[in-house]
Amino acid sequence: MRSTPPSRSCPGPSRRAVLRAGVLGAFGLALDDVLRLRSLSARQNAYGTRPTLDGTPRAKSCILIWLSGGPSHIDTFDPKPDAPGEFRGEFDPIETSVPGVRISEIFPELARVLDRVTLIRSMTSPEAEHDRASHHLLTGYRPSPALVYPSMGSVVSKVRGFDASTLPPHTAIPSAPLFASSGYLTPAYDPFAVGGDPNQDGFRVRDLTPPDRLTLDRLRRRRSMVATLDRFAADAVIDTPLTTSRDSFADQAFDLLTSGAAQEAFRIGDEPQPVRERYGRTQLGQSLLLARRLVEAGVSFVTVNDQGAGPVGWDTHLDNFPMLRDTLAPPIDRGVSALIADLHERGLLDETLVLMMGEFGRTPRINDAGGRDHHGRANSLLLAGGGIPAGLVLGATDAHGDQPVDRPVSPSDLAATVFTALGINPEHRFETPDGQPIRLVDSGHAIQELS
Amino acid sequence: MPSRMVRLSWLLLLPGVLLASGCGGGSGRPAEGPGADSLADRPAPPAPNEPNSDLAPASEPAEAPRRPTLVLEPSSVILPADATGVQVLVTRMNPDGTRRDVTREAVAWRTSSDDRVRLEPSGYLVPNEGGQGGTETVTAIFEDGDSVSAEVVVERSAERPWDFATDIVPIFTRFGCNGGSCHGKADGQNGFHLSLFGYDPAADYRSLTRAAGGRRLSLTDPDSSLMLLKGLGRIPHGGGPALPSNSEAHRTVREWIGAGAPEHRGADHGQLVAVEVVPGDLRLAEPGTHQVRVVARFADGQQRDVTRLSRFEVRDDATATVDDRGLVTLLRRAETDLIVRYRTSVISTRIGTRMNPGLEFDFTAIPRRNLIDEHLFARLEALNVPPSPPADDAAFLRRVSLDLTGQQPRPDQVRAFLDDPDPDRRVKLVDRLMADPLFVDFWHLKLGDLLQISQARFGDGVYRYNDWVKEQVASNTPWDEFVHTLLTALGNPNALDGGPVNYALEGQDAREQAELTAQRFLGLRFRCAQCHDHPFDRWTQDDYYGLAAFFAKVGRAIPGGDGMMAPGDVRVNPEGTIAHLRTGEPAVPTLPGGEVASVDAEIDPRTVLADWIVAPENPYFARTAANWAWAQFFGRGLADPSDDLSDSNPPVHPELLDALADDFVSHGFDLRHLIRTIATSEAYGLSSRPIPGNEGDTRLFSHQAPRPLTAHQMADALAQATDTELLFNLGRGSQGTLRSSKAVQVSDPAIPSVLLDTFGRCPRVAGCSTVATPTLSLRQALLLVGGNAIDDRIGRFDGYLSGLLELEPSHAEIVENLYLRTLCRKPSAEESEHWSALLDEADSVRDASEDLFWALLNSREFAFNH
Repeated sequence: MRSTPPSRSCPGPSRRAVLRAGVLGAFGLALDDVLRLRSLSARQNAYGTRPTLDGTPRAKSCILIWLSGGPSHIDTFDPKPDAPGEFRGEFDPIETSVPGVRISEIFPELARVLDRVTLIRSMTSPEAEHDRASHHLLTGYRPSPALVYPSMGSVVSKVRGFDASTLPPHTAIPSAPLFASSGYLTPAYDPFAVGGDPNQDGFRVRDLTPPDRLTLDRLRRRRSMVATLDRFAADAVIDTPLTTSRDSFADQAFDLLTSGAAQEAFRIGDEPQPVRERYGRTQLGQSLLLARRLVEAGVSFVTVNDQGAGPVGWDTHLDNFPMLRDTLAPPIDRGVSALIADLHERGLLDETLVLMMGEFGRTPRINDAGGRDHHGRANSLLLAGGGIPAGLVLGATDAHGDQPVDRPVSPSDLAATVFTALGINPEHRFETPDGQPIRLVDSGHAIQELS
Repeated sequence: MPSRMVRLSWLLLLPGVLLASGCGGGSGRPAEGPGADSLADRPAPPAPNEPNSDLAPASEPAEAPRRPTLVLEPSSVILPADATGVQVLVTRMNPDGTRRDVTREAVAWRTSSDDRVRLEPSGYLVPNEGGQGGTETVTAIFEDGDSVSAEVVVERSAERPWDFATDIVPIFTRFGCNGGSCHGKADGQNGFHLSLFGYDPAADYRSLTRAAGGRRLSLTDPDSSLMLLKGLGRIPHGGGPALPSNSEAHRTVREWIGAGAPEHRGADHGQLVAVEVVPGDLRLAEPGTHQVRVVARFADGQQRDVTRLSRFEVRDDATATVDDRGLVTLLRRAETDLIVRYRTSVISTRIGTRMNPGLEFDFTAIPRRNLIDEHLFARLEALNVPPSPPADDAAFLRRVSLDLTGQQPRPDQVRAFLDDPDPDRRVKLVDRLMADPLFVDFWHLKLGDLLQISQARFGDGVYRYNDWVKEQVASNTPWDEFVHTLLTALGNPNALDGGPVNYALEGQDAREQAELTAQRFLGLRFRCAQCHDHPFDRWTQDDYYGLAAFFAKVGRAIPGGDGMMAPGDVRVNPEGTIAHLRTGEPAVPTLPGGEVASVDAEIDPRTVLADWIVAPENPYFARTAANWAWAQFFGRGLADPSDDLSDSNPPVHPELLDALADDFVSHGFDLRHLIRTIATSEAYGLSSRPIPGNEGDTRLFSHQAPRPLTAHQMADALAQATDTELLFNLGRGSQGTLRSSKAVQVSDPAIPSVLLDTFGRCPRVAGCSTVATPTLSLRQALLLVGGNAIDDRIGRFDGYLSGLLELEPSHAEIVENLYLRTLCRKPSAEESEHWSALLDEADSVRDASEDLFWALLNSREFAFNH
């Protein structure tokens, strides 16, 4: 059991950002002051004194970098230079900033920040089909015919609640992976998909600023009329997970539209050019930068959904090696190393858990098309920040990278680890709409070495 | 279904139930006594220690002296020489049809001889080794002196017969050896391949006895056989110890190897004919445990207890659990399904209790309009879950208009319907709506979602395809004919009559065509049969490639480099084949379930498949359509997800789904008849407001549920309420650019619309749900609150409000008109007063009216079809 007190190393930046945004916001001071104060006090509650289902938080927020399609573990973090040619692949391992730990040459920048990172080389799941494996990795539960389980992000957002920030507590950039959803929880905890491409000039989130002719005063009046109507109709349209979610979305929309601070967080164009360059002027790089801005502004769980250059993402059944080397790896290498360094320099790394993974690893044997196929038994993932130890490599796979031979870690263990880092007791139970109590994690335990 | 009398006496058996009001109240309202309890949210009460008979008060109705009866199953059984044991079950059967397993409560088991059989405490009866054959009477004796007996004929022979498929293969299945994640996957595991779930025993026998130089079996020293050493985990085995040491299965395998590992020896029982789970519909009086038995029947008439060779799973493990010997524990007052696999058969059976003990409800008072109501209310009565009363007229009018035509009713229609005294007004309304041209548009849209008709998938053929589907909806082509035409059309997909030819252009190859066809029209998910490892899916790779082979001779245009289809005809390519993944040989057209189809060389093999699919006897086709149609009206299918009718996803009311499907077939696959049957049922018209006893129900359809408006419904409702036009560019036609002002006429997702995208229209690209279940999102709220979807429409000078205000109406009239346009009902007196007062006080009546209009369109009531 972890006894470290909640991280208080850097209470400042996010609140300062809110203050600055409030003053500079588009709607003048009077109304903003009220909203800002309300959201500030809510935030202090959420981060300071509010218990989070009996856990002790170390991290305030989590950035999940989802490598959609399933990256090859052997060609990224678990190289097998001594395996026969049909397994080894084309890439050589390189030294990293952790003596003795080598990763694939396609990640030279990540190699330099590896001392701030922990690798798990023994993630394992029986699922090797995209949707089923995504469900397993993103929720910690194997897919069930009876129930869709909530993603880690949805669980975190339910525990943290909506008052932690005016911003949606669970946000995906630019889109949400399948099964990053709220599952049996209400859709209110679905990720808010930002949409668009943060790397494009003039990037903005649609409908986030009300029409000019609509004054804030009038918007507030209308909001209270909606509340009255909904009260009148409470008997006609009963509370269900869907109806209350819709109310919750409407509330969030009103909050966002009347909060300059919230809108400020999405204005990636305000970042200095060197910072934007540092993350790389790619969709992925700028998505990671936007993720940093959002956690600074109080978003609890940000998913950056990396789909590579096209619909198949990291699903390299064909031409695995050129795809990885030329297309998939470079934006990740630059962007994620910049994110880790930037968070560290800002003093935010301790309170931000960074997690990078895909739904499965890929087959050790290279197929006839120069690709690798789905492989659930072995998968590698990267963790950083959030108060977990750095510079570790946990677990190992056999000589061909076929399955773990040491310290196998299940998706359920991973979920327990993430929840524990964020101060959520994995033993806690939520109820499904028809009243079944369900544990937050299936049967897993937080990884001891990381707590 | 229990009679009323039975139900009455059942109530009398329960202590603490007040019968003051009797059950003849006829009000249709439940008794709201202290015992009334909500559904399925109570912790499981402890199972009573005593059988219910002891609780029966002396005041039992004289004419029905009903006590639980003690039953031993099977009451007589033959144990052939090659049977390893039989699960015996002692049950107290209650008069209301519920039961309690008392097998483990027997204080003694008496047998008529000493050496023939012995009984485990769980009631598992095993013939003693070396025991004599003969007839045995087995008696279970209980503490209260009750006893019950059964006759067991133990057959013995000098040498027991062996059959690899019956004696050994089920062990592989039972212990997961031949599952899709182990040796059952397509290329086996570490060089050892078994057919998935043992569907090919002959191949498994070869694999076990001949491959690997015969090392897997050691006939001289069975215990040193690789198969046993690995299976028991005595030498390293990737799957760990799979076979429990010294188990019955272990002994059987050892004995079989010792007997020379024969493929067959002695009497042959023939094919497996049927598998049955006993009891078939397990209804317990209270949460608690109950043993089930699994019985397999073979072609020669032999029945064999295969309980210990079956795998068990419950669908909802928060409602029940099951151990690996078939002992079910129901954890709470609720219902779920037990799913049993024996070899390749999957059987599901319901397990549950009656709900709401103490709640009394007169189910006979509910009107039944058609077969849906008969079946639904019978089930609800059996479960003691009361249905909600009917929705009020305004709610029904709005609901059925949205569901049949995608449109809200206009204010004049609302007023007319509310004033109509005709008792049949709801049925007449359904008929009027089904005659509306927008009915055709709306259901064309739904079928377009099912068939994923989009420019992205079909290129320019999309116009012909859409036209054709719409014509079929308009002329109400029977569903069997519709699907048969789609599956067999040949020719030019861009020709005037080429609409259905487009079906053949979908997917990469024959395999994907097979997958899509199976999922859409049969509710079967064949995709999984390639590689996944769900332990309860029965379709094998042979089924998969057998189905794909029907599509192998489709000769079609190759997609061009730009992703568009090159023009070209779809015709039969006599050379077309699809290679089976495992064998590499061209797959042979085989119907799901194993019947090889004889296909003449000249004809399109798809015609043979299409004949089979649309045949009235096909167990999947009509049920899939009925389930799909049901889902359109309730937001979820009777089986849910509604495109999965596999054995492992049983419907919540199987009898209802079967009846609805039978009715569909007997009416010549008439889609409109099916739709009308559902829309005119009492069940569909129920209120969405729960009553005591059905509050927790989210699966039984005891009340309707508020459903968010779909994208097309929302767009049309916004436009209609505000009297503003939507303008969609439908693309080029012969008369220039075609435009439409109705969202329901916008079928192709390629036609741009922020509103439709945001509200979640089906993109019709990859997998899309069969029911348009709109997902709510923050993005929608932002569009309505901050975007232009509403604000631009209400303030327009040519919009509705401007026109209304010009008539200088009273404030109450403004309120009433705005309510009618948006919520399709009149405001209550309270609502009218409240908003009129607000308008009275407003500086600008126009501004305040705009605000009310805006707020109504942003209200919960508008957002939901309730």
